[in-house]
Amino acid sequence: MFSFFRKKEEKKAKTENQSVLSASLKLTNSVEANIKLFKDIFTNDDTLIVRNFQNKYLKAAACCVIYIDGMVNTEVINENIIQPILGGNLKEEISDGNLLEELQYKVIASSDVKEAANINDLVESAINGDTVLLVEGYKQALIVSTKGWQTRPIDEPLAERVVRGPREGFVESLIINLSLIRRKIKNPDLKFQFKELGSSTKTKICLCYIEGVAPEKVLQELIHRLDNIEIDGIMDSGYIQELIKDAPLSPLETVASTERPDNVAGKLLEGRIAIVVDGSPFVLTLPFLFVEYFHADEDYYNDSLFTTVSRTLRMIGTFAAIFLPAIYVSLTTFHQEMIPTPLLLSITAARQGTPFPTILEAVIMGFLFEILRETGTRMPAPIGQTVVIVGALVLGGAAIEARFISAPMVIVSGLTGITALLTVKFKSFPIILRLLLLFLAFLMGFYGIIFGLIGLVIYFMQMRSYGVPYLLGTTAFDENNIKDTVTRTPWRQVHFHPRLPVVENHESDHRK
Amino acid sequence: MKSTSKILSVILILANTLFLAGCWNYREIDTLRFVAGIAIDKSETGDQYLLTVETVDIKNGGESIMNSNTMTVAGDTLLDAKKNMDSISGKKLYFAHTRIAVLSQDVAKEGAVKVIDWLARNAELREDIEVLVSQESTAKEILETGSKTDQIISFELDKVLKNQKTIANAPEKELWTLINDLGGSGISAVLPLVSLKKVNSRTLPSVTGTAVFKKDKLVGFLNVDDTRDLLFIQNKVDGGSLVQNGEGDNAGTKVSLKILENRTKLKPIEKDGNLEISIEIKTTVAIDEIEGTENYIDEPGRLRLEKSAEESMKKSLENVVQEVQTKYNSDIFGFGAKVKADMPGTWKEIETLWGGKFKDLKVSVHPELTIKNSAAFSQPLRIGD
Repeated sequence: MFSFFRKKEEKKAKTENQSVLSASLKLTNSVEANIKLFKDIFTNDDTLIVRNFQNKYLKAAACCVIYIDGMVNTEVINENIIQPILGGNLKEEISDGNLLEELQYKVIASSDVKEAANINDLVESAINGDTVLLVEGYKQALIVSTKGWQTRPIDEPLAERVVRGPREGFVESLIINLSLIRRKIKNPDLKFQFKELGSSTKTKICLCYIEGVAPEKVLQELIHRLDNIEIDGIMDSGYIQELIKDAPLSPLETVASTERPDNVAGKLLEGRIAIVVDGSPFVLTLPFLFVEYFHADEDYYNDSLFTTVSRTLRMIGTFAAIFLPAIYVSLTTFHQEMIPTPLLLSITAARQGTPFPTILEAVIMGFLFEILRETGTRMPAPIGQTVVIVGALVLGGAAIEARFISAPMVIVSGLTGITALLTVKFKSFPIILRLLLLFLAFLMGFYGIIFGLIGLVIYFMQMRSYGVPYLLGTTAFDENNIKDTVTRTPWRQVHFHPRLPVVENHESDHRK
Repeated sequence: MKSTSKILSVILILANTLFLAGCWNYREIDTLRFVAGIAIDKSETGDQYLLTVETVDIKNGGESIMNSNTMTVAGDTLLDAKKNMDSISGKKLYFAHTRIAVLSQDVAKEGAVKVIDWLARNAELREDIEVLVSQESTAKEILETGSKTDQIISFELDKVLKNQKTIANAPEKELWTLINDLGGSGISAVLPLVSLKKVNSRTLPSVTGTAVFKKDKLVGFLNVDDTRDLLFIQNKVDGGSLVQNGEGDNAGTKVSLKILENRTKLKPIEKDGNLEISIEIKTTVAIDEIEGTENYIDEPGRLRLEKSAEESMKKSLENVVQEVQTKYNSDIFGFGAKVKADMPGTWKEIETLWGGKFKDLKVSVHPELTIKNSAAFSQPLRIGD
């Protein structure tokens, strides 16, 4: 798994910076020429705004602001850049040759003003929403921070609603997201480390961790994996989640994502590392262990007994979602002696005259449910109703009535589908595994299911998330590791959030 | 090279575990015909078995209707008969949900082991099916009542037998206990008897009485009352009732006593080299019915009733033991087994002679009856003017 990343390292060099285009271009003394330079770079881009102006007392102070429409707060440009330069009496203050310096220190009212000469830096700043101020007679320009684009208000995340707990969710802006995290943990050890990913999108990402709590090894491994990413664009944290997971082909995640700042803050306290990606309200946390699939944010705010009950329910639900069709098929086609007699008779009665073998029924119904689920997710709300009616009435009721599908199979697949939704964090895992077990059950009955189960356990046991065993806290009894697994220890017995243990030499583990 | 051979060997091992397990038996549930009960008779010529199965026929339709259906086929052995049956019926007979097996008297007299072997050895049939002996001339007519009464008669009989603990009309015997009894030393087997009774113009099977075996051969029957006494001795009574006639002047007044609790202890005693069995019975009962105005509820009356009930119980039990000793000479009470458990040394000496010893064994009964309450009324009914 790790060698997967290593190999890429060798290939890397070839895609070094695509933006060599303007390396030869340099700012000149003339504003006119500089404007032309910008316009050449931004050919066919009408969002580039160029505004020339001059101080009314000092003719020499001929300036020009360049910014990208929509990315800036125009009020700041008007009042803090143009206004002071236009109207201020600069005559007395400005001596020859230091106009730029004077503007930077005495005129422009902005918290962040930088001088830059490199055209690449200037273009990049403009793209990021800063304003470039060109001054006649200078080869340098000023970059004034004027970022100000429209963002979504902080809102309750749709997918992770809670009855009890904070209702704020991340938005698409990196800085706002960082502030949401910072507001939860007021500790100078909380570190924010920026990085840039994507050769075209230049997406900013930020690693958050608490120094001294987050294991150094995990951090090193993460940085190593991030550095090996080669991609032109990152649209959402989902890209990164997939690029840095431990088992690229596995249906199981080893990196979690959440929209809730309280969730991220809690995980940071446990020694996990968060990755905030600009433009995505989903923040990644890692390492991610199997039990976390069964955790919900509300679990930490509700009473610990209730938490234990609901987590147990989720586990049973997931078990049912994966095993139920396989168990039904093997009971009715292999082990009829295991069904209580009255149940056996009613299943038999329901099966009379149905055309398809049980296994085919199971596959068809599973397929139908997934279609309905997928349609339901993508449908606009008003059409969603139609889907429900068609799904429930036509496919359920009428199929039984017409004896296409036996009633018990509809019950089984309905149960399977509902229980699968109990833990929405699972995506492809239950679907794939369900089909696999169904196939094994069809071939060999319970013997096959047990076979699948053994294989599953072996697979789980070898899995690691950034060096941490995937089943940590569920396979062996360790006082520290089981505090927040199936059960949650009451807070009065937890002075610190349970810390992640990190297995020493986890890399060499894999190499054996 | 090394890793390829490793992978190959793993695949080979997996393939072997998959295909050598013998678990390849995919069959749709609606291709099976569920057998609810089986009855075994001898053919008229006596050299073949007649195997009768009661199957549950499920009708296809909006509502599922389940009917009892019987089928009788002859065969040299039971398996042969079953095989012949499979060639008649389109659906395969499936025995895993069979609840009862009825043996005809002929079969039982010839030796139960002959048929019980297949019942137990067969992989599909369960070891906990109920075994009965038909008191009618054939066993199949018991199952044939099912199609006339709209119920799966085997399941009904199974429920009746499961209730025997509180009815005490017949000894319940599952196949595995029967095998234990047949093979055990110091105990002989008994089986419940089933006969046909007319109830409201319908003929229904009723489970009453006991079939007594010696070794594996049927030797005789016990009636209902004797059966209850047998169950008392075997400590298998957990309910049921005793009917006690009034004494002296009140001879016509019958009192029903409901058994609430019963505990029986067998005690083998060795006295002057002679073995004796003492049966200690502790029964708690409640007065459930008084057919008259006699006061049996106040202490003097109650004590009288207790005493007379104890006496009649003692008499009845001793009679049954004596009858079994003289008539059948078969230790169905398990006295021998008790001796074996309590006095292994003595048992070793007498084991081979037990057949003769049982006949003359001295058995004493010591009942202790307690009347606990008188149900909902605390007084007998009075008749005024």
